[in-house]
Amino acid sequence: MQAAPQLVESYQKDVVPNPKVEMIHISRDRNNAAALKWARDDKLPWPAIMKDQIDASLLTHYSNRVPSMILIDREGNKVAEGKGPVWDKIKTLK
Amino acid sequence: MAETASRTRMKDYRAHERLPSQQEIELEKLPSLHENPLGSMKLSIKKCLIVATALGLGLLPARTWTSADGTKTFEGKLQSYDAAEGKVSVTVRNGRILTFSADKLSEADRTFLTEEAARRGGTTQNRAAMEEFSLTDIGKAFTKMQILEGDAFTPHEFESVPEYFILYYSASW
Repeated sequence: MQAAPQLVESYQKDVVPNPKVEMIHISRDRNNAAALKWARDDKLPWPAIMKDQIDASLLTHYSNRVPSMILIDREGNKVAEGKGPVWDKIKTLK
Repeated sequence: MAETASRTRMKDYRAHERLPSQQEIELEKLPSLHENPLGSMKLSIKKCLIVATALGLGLLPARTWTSADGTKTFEGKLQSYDAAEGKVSVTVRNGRILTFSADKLSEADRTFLTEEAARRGGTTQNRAAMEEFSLTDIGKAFTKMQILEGDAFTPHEFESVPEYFILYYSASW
């Protein structure tokens, strides 16, 4: 699974300039080396959390599908799900 | 690129911190990169205390500083900027901390200092919110973030706490 260049472009355009939102890659790679290789190869610009740091956290509860995208608020409430609805929402956050 | 695309990480710093080995130096006696090595400088040194308004500016990358008249340059990392006193401390290549008056620097350097002070002031205002957030379940989950810097992952922190988080579950396979 490779990150579409369009997603990197969308991140640069819609997320980076907006202090109200950040995207975090929840890595489902089985090992950190694979995640690092992917990040290097595709120059992934967003922060990431490795699988071994996720398993004990509540981040496992939002999705078990790969790939998937969820927008949550600071309290952990799910606000939107799927790239289209997530991006539609963040574009309203100015 | 990660360095440019992602918001800057907040580095830990303490305002009002007294810096070690403070020295005051006349900028005219700083070496040009193209002239003397730092070790050969004749320094006019006196002890200097950082006043309570000092701003510690953390681990910024080295930059080339230019004298007010544009004739001399040197490289160093900004260590602190005391806006009230107009004093700048810069760590140079041999690890020595040089402290001097900001008006010895070029206009571009003074603008940089003003912007850094403003940026870090804003960060200070966010500190309480960030500490509070770090105690929440979501905040705890984000304490292990990393970001690609060069060829390796390095720890990453929010500069300020976003209101929303996009969780992108994905993998290389």
